[in-house]
Amino acid sequence: VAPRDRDPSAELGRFAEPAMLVLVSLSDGPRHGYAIMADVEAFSGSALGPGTLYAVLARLERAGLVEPLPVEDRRHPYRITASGHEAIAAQLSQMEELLRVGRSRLPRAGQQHA
Amino acid sequence: MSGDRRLHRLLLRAYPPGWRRRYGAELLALLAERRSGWRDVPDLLRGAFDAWLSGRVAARQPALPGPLLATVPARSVAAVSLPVSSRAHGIVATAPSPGEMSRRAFMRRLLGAGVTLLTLEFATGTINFLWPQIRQGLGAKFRVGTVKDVLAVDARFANGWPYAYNPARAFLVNVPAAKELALGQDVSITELAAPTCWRCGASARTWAAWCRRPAIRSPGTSAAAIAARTTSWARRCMRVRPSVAWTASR
Repeated sequence: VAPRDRDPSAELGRFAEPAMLVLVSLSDGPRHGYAIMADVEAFSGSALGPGTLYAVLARLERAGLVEPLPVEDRRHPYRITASGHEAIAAQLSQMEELLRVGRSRLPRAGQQHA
Repeated sequence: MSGDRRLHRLLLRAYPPGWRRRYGAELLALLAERRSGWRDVPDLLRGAFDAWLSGRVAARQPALPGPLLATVPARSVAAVSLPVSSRAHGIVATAPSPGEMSRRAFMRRLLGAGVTLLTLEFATGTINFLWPQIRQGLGAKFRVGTVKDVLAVDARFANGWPYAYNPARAFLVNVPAAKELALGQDVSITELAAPTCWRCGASARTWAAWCRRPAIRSPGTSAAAIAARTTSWARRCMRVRPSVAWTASR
């Protein structure tokens, strides 16, 4: 079985980074599109455009990482699923590992250039 | 309907029909709330392009493994139609739903649209270049003026530099001075005795003969065809000849 078959987030492609922002935003509760954009901008400083946001939501929904809730005022709030939680947890672990390795190597790199 | 709403509805039409049915209303609601006007246009166009490209990908994605399948919303499961073919590695291919198209059909249309656009651009550019003046059309006659007029606009014409007359899409060449310039001589010729053919650069006494010479002959062409073509060429040459030198010679 190819790795792509095991990883539902494999199809995110170039939307991997905005997808992570959206998943983080949905981690503490369901939100609709506009609230996701506002939240992402507040905690990351990155402004997601509406086209990007819905491209990401469509992919996340297809991958089963988020799910829509019943319509409220013409808008679907979205909720992160259990596999979405797993995916974002795995991503954050990878980033933590990257952070740890990067920090441990950074002083040595500085010494080499000194 | 306000201008922004009209614009947003227009942009939404760039998305695939299936995508519009699913996300269209909420995207419009979001755009109305955002009131961003034109700023979101590039982002929405990118999103539309992505939606066309990835629209059928969902149905072709590998089936999710057991534990994950339970988390996929019922809506997504219902959206997957009966598989047309299944492969050993689990990829499920489905026929496009009504109003949707396959990735192959989309790529074909995209390619067709690209070729059409390129052809149109080329044709428009060519006509635009050849069409000297909208009112007069192709083959129009232009009076550029005398040598004195040209020198008043561009004094380097006397030293052999070509003079570009944009309305006619033509260059005028002071041939005697240009020949000297090509040899590295610094000359200034302001009196031209004979008219100059803008097309071939030859003087009036010789241009017709020059135009009949081998430039337009090709191997295997019959003598009659050459004669017809040379006549046509020469005629055209005469028609577009209202160069500065012609006027100056009078």
